[in-house]
Amino acid sequence: MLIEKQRQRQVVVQCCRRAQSHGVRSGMPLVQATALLPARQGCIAPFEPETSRRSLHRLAVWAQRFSPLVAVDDSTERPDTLLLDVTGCDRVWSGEASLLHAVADSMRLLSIEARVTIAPTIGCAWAVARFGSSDTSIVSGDGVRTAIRDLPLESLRIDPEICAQCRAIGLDRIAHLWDLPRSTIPARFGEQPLLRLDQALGQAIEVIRPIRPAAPARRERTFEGPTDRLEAVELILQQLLEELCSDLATRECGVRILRIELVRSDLDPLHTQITLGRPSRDPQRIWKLIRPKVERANLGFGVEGVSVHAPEIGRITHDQLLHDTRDREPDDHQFQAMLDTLRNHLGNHRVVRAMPRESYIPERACAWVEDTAGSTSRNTSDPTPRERPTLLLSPPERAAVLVLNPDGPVSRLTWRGDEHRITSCIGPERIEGEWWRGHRSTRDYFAVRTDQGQWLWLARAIDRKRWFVHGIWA
Amino acid sequence: MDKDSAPGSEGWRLGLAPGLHEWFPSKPERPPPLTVLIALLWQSLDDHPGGVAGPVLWVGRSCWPYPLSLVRHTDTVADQHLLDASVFIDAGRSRSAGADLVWSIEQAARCPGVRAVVADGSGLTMAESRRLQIAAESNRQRGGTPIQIVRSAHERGVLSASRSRWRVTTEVSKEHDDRTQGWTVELLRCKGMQPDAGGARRWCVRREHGSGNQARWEPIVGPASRDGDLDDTVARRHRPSAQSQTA
Repeated sequence: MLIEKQRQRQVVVQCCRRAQSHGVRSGMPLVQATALLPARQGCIAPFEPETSRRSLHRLAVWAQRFSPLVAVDDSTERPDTLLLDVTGCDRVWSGEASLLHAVADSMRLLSIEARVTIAPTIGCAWAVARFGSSDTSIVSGDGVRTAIRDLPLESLRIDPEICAQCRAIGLDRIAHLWDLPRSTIPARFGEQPLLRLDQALGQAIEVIRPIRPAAPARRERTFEGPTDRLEAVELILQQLLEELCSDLATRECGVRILRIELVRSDLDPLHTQITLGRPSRDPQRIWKLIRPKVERANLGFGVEGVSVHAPEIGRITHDQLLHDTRDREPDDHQFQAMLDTLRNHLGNHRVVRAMPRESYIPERACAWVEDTAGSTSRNTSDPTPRERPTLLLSPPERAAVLVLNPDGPVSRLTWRGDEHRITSCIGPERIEGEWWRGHRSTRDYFAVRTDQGQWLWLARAIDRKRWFVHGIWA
Repeated sequence: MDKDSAPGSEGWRLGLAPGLHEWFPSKPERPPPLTVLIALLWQSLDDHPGGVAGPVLWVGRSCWPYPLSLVRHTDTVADQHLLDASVFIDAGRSRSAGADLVWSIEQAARCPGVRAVVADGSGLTMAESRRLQIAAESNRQRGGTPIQIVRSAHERGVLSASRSRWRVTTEVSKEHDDRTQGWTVELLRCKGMQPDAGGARRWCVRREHGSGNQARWEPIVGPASRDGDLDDTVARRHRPSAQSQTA
């Protein structure tokens, strides 16, 4: 059940069929609904109109597999209906009946309780789907009147107040409405009932407003014949890039990943890709990044066509021109552009930032993250340990250690083939293994100073009774 | 800093000046002097309190510090400014890695707003160092970028166009159970400065173990070591590198 708070009480907004079989109806107070259900059964969640609207839109995009024209019906307060214009689509599915079953089966697979109706008009389909006797039904072209004759007035998408007024004078069914003289209805109930009735009967026009998915950011051009002139290819690429960037400017977006395809006359198409740290729609900047890759490309016997495609785009807010040129923003932009250059030359994983993690194990306490716009959030809640060496050896190096008394200070150390006398020993700092990750080894850490003045970070693995040099204050 | 003037007690600030600075450990097997460089970078951040900290780039995996050592602790808060400003660049170990490394350093140094570049500079030739020195001075209106190049100790005889050369030695203390960590920083060579000019040329970086990365710089009074003088002579006479290594 999905509930909502209305005037200081919780009310059921929508409920599943099982709850309905126990007598729960939408609009019922939650207390009454839970009393109707068997003890401790039923899942209650708050109704979120925005989430619901978004998932309905996603479902609409998905439903485009059945028809190119899909719309979300927004005539009601809480949209819960998808309208599909299946005119002509039945041939693909070899008949309306199999199309209907395909839709119903897919909905069942998605665990969505849906009622599906194919009818000549939107109004009729809406009415039969909601108030008809069966979950799936098909209304043929001349069966509209019989199909909706006995349905209640609400099924015509008429406002509830008008329905109540009609009911007060004994108009319950749609058939009652069309028995009345047409001229008397608008004076009493307004234009709506007649309009809806005409729409349901197909005597008034109603159109659906289909959703239109955003076209992929892509531009392509085909040459008249294959060309092996790099200048021509570069020129066209620059033009395409400018067109793509102006396309993206209208969508307030920028390129995050750009893919270029060169269709070569007798070789496989050549794909090149660049990644940007932050979305950008500056053609000059992007061209600077992609140009070295294009120059290195093997054009073979000639290029027949090129395409520029941005598979991943990111939102950019409006650019505002700055009065003060000493502002920091341009610097940051240039720095990001420089990092992009490095990234595309060296590889994404070679330009990183360090992110402290919640772990006391030295080698786990910091993660290298690729420096992109998405990873700027930092975990600063956990205070990092106060004293850590400036250089961490990876892997730790074995060392032999002489300790005069157990758990006492270290007195001699043999490491990298040299023997050192220890003049200062601070510790131990015990670091427990993270058993919840299967890392059980406990270590004791000592900061020691050799007679050469070098400070080393010694670790003793307690269970293996071995010593390691793990870090250096270099 | 004016040319021809002798460095004073704050002379180590020369290392923050725009240009190429080379850092040598005292012995070939010693790791790069990261603690001193981190102390220097903190000083650079502290010089502009409240200002926008420009990014710091660490180029070359061998000079990447352990990131947690970039956090400085006071009594109550952990100061992560340096860690937040740091971007680490791995110029790779492939065949063309040397060229990639110099190219990356140059890109970083030419970018306006970059506070400092710390880079692995082993195997840097004279021509490359000149190229980097020009790159470091390219942002004139912003005063240029300091590039800290970490080199290995046996490359001290190799000529370069760098603005200054420094050597870092760990301080040997006779006291037992002392918590002080110390490094001696020595200015071996500096463009425009006479090798026999007076003033302090050695400083000491000290920090207490457990103090949370708070380092302090102190001048060391006394004559510079023999070794340092020799290096100056080598640089002035422009002797070929092979001979100077034997010298």
